[in-house]
Amino acid sequence: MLRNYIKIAWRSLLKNKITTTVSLFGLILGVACFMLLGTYILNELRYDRFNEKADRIVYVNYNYKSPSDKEATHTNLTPTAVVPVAKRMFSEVENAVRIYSYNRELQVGTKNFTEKNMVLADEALFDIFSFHFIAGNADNALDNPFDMVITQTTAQKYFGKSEVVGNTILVNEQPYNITGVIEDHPLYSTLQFDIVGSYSSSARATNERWNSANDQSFLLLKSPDKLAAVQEQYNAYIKEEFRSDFEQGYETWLDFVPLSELHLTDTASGNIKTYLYILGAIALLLLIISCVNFTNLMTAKSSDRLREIGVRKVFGAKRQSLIFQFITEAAIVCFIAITSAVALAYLLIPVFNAVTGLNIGVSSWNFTYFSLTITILFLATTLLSGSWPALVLSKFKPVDALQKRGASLGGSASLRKFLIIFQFTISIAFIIATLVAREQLQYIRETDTGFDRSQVVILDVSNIKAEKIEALKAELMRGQHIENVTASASSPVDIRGGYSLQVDGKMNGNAMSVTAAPVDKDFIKTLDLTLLEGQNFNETDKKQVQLVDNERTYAFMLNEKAVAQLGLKAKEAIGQKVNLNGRHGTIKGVLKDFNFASLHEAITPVVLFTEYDLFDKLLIKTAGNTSESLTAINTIWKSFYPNRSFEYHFLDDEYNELYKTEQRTTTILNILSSLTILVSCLGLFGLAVFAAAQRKKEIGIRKVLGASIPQLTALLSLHFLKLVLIALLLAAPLAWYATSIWLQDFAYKITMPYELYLFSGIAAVAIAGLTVSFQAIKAAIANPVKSLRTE
Amino acid sequence: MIKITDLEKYYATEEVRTIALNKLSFQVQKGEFVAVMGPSGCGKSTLLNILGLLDDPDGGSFIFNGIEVAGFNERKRADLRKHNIGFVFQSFNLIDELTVFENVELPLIYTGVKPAERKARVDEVLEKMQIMHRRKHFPQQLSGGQQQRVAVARAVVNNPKLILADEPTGNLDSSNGNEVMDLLTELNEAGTTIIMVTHSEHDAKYSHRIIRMLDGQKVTENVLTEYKSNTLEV
Repeated sequence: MLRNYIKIAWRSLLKNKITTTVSLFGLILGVACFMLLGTYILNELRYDRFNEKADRIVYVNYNYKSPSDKEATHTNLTPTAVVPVAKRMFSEVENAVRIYSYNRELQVGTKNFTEKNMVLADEALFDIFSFHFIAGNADNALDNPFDMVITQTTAQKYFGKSEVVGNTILVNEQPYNITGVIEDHPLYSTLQFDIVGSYSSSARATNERWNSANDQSFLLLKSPDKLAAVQEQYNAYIKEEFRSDFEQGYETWLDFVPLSELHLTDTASGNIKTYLYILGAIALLLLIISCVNFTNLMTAKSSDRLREIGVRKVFGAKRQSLIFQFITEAAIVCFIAITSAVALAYLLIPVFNAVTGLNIGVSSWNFTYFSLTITILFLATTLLSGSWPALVLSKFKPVDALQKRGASLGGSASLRKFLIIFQFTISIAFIIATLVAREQLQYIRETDTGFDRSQVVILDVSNIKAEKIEALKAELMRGQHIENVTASASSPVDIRGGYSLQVDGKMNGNAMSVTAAPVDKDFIKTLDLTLLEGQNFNETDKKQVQLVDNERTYAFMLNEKAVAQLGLKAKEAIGQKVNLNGRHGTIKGVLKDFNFASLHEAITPVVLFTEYDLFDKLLIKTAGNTSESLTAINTIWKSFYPNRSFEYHFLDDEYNELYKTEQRTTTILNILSSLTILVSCLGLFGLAVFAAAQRKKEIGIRKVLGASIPQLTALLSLHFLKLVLIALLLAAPLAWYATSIWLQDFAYKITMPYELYLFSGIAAVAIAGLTVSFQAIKAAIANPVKSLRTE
Repeated sequence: MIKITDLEKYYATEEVRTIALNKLSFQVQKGEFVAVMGPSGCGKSTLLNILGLLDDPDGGSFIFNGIEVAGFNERKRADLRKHNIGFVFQSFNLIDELTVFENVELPLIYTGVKPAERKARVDEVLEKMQIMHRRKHFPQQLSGGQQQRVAVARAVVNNPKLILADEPTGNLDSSNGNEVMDLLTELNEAGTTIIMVTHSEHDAKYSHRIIRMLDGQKVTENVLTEYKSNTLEV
């Protein structure tokens, strides 16, 4: 019996080659995309969970607010005191670790390197996190000052081998002893350092401070459910400890994030969580669409089999056996589709990685999840596509079935209409959302952030003395194709330093939190920032800050927001005496507001000031041919630092990097919206083929009675287009709602581009029209004699 | 074997009620060959559907092999049908996706016959119908006459007591038509009761008795050959 079913299922698949191909292809595509996106989402979700104590590890965020601040400042860096206090004061804290970014000049043998991925960490690091030691002992690897542990790849890079325990590396001329070599970090680990030195190597270790925040702090709790309690106790402790500050309106508090949430809530890489929700929803919708499609085609085809059902019933088939038959058939088809989809997803992983710049792998296909998902998918598609024909068709009286009475099947026809509308609603909403997202990203790329990012090359000059930078700068200025050079502590698209600014002698003058960065005098000129009032930095300003302590004065540039928050007009601000974390000086100029961080964030008060000992970046504005400029810069760099590699990037790229999550999502959205419309059209095409076949007799009769080909084409097409139009009406508000929410995430955004709605609508109708009219024309030009005779 | 009394069947739409069978009564004896004739729409096919337990009457009595079946539900009807009745249709109603062999095998599958026995019985009947050489072909690869022979093979493979034939030669040319009528006559001579609906006076002459219908009622009854069954089973 089962063999009989399998046979008939197989033959009926072969008989309707077009609908079979279309429905299988759609389902395979949908399931494969679901698997791929699922893999991606799993990859993101499993971040850091490999740590054995992951559920008990929390990350500490630091928040502060001064009385004049409108909003609190949140940072993921913490003061040095957070960890020792936690260990001392709270019994629920089992252990704690500080990690401090420590990028210095390294010397291995006679070779110099700039290490960009070195950190210092407390010895608790290896107790809290899970690392695999290839050599050395986790228990005491960081116990002494100037101990260090390096990753396998780093060992290979510097020594050409992994057995390097006992060797030394000079870090800023201080020898560090290698006490361990660990395996490289998994891709899905937040910690990605190459080298970790003992925290006790730095003076920070003994300096418990609350007023400057530069460490990442992790606490290991005794129990995961103590998070809220410890956080509350700690904040109560801070409130008590700094009671007088709190009374003056200064506030400081910590919040704890479970390690498993850390990657997802990392604002620097965009709010991944939101995107995971979006992509998850899309994956699910695409899956539903393709299942719907498949169901639609299968049910359409099954009513073609009424006669067969009639015959079977006449010869004794019971209803159960027919239900079983249809379910078996659906199961066979679904099995083929899902197996192929899994294979396709597997093959597409490299493509997915290439397109998105991600690195996902099947290693995240946890066996239990995987088999569960596959089973659920299999059962769901089987039941969805098999149950309608099974339950409805098997109910027909044999005589009705034989005569195809009720073969138009009113109920299923309206079900199919509903399904088409559903599919197209989602497809059109996707198209609109994709276009809106694209428009927003375009806007970000092209928006005027208040300074000129083009053709600016950035070199890393951290750990280079100010005088040396000056000399390098002077040499570069002499070079060809170089328009201007400046140095700064941070990149102009990512200024993060938190300072407080106070107007001198102002009664009740509370300090105001500002973002600030030390810059060299040519910063404004090089980046073409707009000076609204006052003077640019000059040679005198530079000399003033190089004087001895008590004679030193600083020149400050404030943006409009900062001046406004001080309660001043731009003109009044000039010459005003202020101090910035103890740096005394005058306001020299007022800058037009510019975006110094991602456009997700609104512009806040910012201060630029001259200070010549904290530069990390050299910004070179080039002119003319970029590659020639780079060659020139490289030559000069090599003459200064023959042992230091020449590494550069463009400011534009750094800016775009701020939106990489959005860009990646848009890329995925682009592909997915194309796929959804493709799958929906496949479905529509299949149904058009089916409708044309079902209405063959009607078309024949109409033709005999004088209907023209255009009339017949319209007859067959309009029915479907009407459904697509309804879908458009439903999709528009849906897309509007979704994109409005997404846009809320940006402080700077486009106004809703309604013309895109119209465009998407026209496009969807056109695509759907093409899809069905092809089939309609084919049916319309067929010879009516033939269609009438076969009936 | 069959006794119907005051059998009624209506087809009702929202506005019109059409009477298909109007208090129809007659009997058929075991082993008899009865032809039912009449113009289109006189209720012949409706009658055949009810006799074949494919449809239920709206009134009257239908006794089959001594059992009142008019009130049977679908399940009981299906059960009775698969063991007792074979069908031959004008349009053959073969399943396109199954081969000749598989089409004929179908009723045996539904009556739960074991595979080995199924094969033997299908082969036997195909042999008898002289289409053994076509057993692996699909219906569309056969001529109309061959298709109807397959349909007859399928109808008799279960050794039914009653064969209901609905215009069995309607889609065939005269020589193929005659062949099919000869087949039915042979089956009848071997003891199978046959009720055949037809438009053809020629085909009707193969039967023992012709019942003529009009507007759902029996108009006349001509006995062509006196049929005497051993026992009058009602």
